Amino acid sequence: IEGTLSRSQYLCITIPPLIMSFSVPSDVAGGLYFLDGKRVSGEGEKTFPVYEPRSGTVVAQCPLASPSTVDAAVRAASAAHSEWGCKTELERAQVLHAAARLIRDNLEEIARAEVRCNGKPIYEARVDIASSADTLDYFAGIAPAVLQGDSMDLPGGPLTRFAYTRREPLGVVGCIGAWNYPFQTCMWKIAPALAAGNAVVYKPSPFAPASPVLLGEILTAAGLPAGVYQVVQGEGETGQALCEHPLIRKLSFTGSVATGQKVQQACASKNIKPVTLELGGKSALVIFADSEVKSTVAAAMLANFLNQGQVCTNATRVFVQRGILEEFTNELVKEANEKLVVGDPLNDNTRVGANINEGHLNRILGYVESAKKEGGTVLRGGVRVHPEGVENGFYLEPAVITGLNDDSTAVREEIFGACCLILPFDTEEEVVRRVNNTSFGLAAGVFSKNLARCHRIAAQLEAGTVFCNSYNDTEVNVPFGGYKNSGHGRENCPDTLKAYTQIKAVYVNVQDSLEHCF
Amino acid sequence: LQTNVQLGRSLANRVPALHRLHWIGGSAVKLEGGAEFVVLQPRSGSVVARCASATRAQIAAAIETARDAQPEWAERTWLARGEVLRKAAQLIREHLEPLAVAECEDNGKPIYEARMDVASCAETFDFYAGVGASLARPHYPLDSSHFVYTRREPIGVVGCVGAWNYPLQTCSWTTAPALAAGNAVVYKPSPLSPLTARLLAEILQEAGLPNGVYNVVQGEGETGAVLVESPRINKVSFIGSIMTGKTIVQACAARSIKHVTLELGDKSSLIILEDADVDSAVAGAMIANFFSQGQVCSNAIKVLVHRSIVDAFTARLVAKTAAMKVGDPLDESTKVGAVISKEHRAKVKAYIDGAVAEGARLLYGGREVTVAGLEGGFYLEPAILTDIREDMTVCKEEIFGSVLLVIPFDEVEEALRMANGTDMGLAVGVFTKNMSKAHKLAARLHAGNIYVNTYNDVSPFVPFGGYGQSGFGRENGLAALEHYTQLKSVFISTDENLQNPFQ
Repeated sequence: IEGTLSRSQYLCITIPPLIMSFSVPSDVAGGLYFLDGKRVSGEGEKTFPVYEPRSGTVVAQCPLASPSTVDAAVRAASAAHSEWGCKTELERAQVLHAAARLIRDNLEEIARAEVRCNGKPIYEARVDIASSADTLDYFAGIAPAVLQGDSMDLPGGPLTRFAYTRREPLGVVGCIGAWNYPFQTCMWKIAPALAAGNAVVYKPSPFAPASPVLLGEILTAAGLPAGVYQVVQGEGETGQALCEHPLIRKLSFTGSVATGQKVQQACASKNIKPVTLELGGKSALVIFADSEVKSTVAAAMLANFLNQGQVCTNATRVFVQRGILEEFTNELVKEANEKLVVGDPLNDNTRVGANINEGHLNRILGYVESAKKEGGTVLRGGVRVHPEGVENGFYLEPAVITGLNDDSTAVREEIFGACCLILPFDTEEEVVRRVNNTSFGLAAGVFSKNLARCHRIAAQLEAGTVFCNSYNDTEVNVPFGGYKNSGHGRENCPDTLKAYTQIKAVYVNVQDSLEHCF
Repeated sequence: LQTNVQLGRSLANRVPALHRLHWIGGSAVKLEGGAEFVVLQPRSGSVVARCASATRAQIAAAIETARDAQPEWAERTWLARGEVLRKAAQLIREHLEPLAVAECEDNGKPIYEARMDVASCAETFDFYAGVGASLARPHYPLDSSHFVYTRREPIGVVGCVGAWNYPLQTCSWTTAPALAAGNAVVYKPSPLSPLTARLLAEILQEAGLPNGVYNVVQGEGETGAVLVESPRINKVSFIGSIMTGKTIVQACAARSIKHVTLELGDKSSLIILEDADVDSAVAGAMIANFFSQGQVCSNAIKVLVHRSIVDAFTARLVAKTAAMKVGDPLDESTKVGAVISKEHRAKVKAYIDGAVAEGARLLYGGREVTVAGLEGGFYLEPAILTDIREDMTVCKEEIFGSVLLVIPFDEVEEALRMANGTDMGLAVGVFTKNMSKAHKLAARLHAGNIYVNTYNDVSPFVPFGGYGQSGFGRENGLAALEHYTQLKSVFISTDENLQNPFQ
């Protein structure tokens, strides 16, 4: 295209980036940092071990990023940001759409890498990766419309003055990711952050550090300029450094409530940064007697057994109306026994993979023990197993437990593992009260054929997401986030994109002169 | 379905497409029975094809094909439809050169302009591929037992009568939002430029658009009339002259009531204040007049220049205009291509000659040009006239050619009066360095598009359309999507019982 053309002259022309060739590396030997557009080893004396959950082996030692490492990464992102932020939304969208195409073209390999990183079954990982590509396309697509400013009339009329707003990127955004959906939770943050014109410095969880680095390589191949997306690795100290860095304008965190509190405090300790927190939950699924039992069992399984139960929205509290309690319980145990195949997550048949590490697995077993001690009955599962070929991996049979009450430890605290707790109830009023009786508020589900009941209860539940006659049905264009201690801010929706920008109001006085009032 | 390689070959060799200019239900079709029209290449004046206009029955069949295909397309999510449009944008970029050559041969505009047009079509498809997902479909809680959610649904089948000045672009501006919203399209290009809307069908098919969702019927005025009258069409989009626009609106209500959007003509002005940078103002005046042989709806024929700079302005304008090469539009160095038809060239020339007869002074150009090797082509020098009186025909009627009138003024109020002194209102431009003057004039000028220190700037994000007789409805931006959808409000009551108010 001839160089004589410029935007103001006639029409804008976006030259799409050249997609460089890309392939998924076979291991993480090349490094677990992503700086200046490249995978690198990172520096530092102190390291943490990187596990492959399916086999229980240590695959690497990763340096912990010191505050000075974080500082260098942030400064480089800040320098790279000015060019990225000045591009048009369509120019940025081209890069993000190209990345989505690369993800889909390499879906199987990326999914396998996710399985090695996290331990989830390959059939789940494929869905995660595909939906991550959709997330990129979604945010890149809506950006031109959502990132528009507004024009306003002011008193005095347009011959006197008017105003308009601009939506501008924040600059460098810091993100602290989670280990349960390493690739996807990274994407949910960086897709809107990048689409809005920010640069990102991402710290994955040390339990699952690899996938966000792979995402960096994909973005570079798609044409993202070096430095716009950086990955540093570390634990609490590294996270603190991100929260405190003066050039970071916003922090997005996914993790536990306890760490979330520390993050929010740290973000006001040096300068002030806005924070979004996606924290845990103790969600509930409510099943009324007019439901079809098979569907309710499906919902309870979707609400408990995906991703080895390590899902923030999981409804470990399953309230079942007494009329169908026995039938439901028997059907759930039967279906769980038949379908929940525990094994090497790289196998297509596996439905339950490995938990993230030994410490977490023992924690879940601790809740099973507490349930037994406090009067509960374990109907199935709740024990560690050692599948053939991957004996040292962190495998647990998903548990179904009855006989507990609302005060039991397992019913009150977030387990973050495959423990489905069946709790009987009688009336609607009672169960709504019991569901809301928690400091958490991430998600809830209600099963009933009755239209009025479903909508009525949806309005009463204190949760950021309510599922009617389904569970964990999450889509990229619907807001996701919590009430109460489950956090604040939302992922996945136009508001999320706006939350990665700041509004500037511009007042324009068009009179020839200005008078003062004194 | 053809592969991308076959698509590339088909776009490079357009002869087969020229002999099957209709596209119905996923196939190129040669229809018979209707009155034949001749397809000319303005650059050479030669006949490249003959095409039968679609008959009443053939149009009806095309509409039914669209109606049958539309529900499945509408059932897909906005994201899924967006994927098809995004792929179409990618294909348009991949095949930019053959599409640009086709546009250049079909319309006569220089190849460098045709490339810009085609690239902008890709951006338009990209924009609509993404933004549908962000359109508001509000949910209203009314009280503790009543709420409303809304759905945004497609209108159904959209009938479009396209224009010949930007054949592919005007097609994209209607087709992209219509398809994004889940509608099916029956598009009738102008018989003066029937080709690129037809080539778009192959691109959309390769991008995964189901057969029948985009159809092309060719024909002249009568074909358009039958299309817009059909009660089986839910919305009409028309780009063209005001006179035809009136007929279209009437036809749209003749048998059933339809949504209509109209992009019609204009009589625009460009106001150049005394503090304007003269070279920029000259560039602005040329941009406002000389693209596409002046055949641009938003062109500002009346260039109102402050008397203190009019001499310097005029001298530089004439020099730069004279330096523009008139020639074969396929030639990279050509800046002025061929006018769309012999008749239109004669019409534009008649306006120029008529102005001189009414007392205007011709400063440059206005002569027919013969291009070596393309002696049958329709070439005309751009014309610059001055000594214009407001009662002259050229000052009142839309010319739609490269005829620029330099009109000096003394007071801004005078310029404002002249710019607003028309019942049309598509575009006006202002050149000044003064912020206060610029914004005040922007507020006082009656037009749908105001340009400050630029002209004919366009973006798929920004609504484009006219005031007054220049039409209603907007193309581009989210505003256009509102025209291609209808909002349904769903009221839900969760009361166990409904009270009877009649007891």
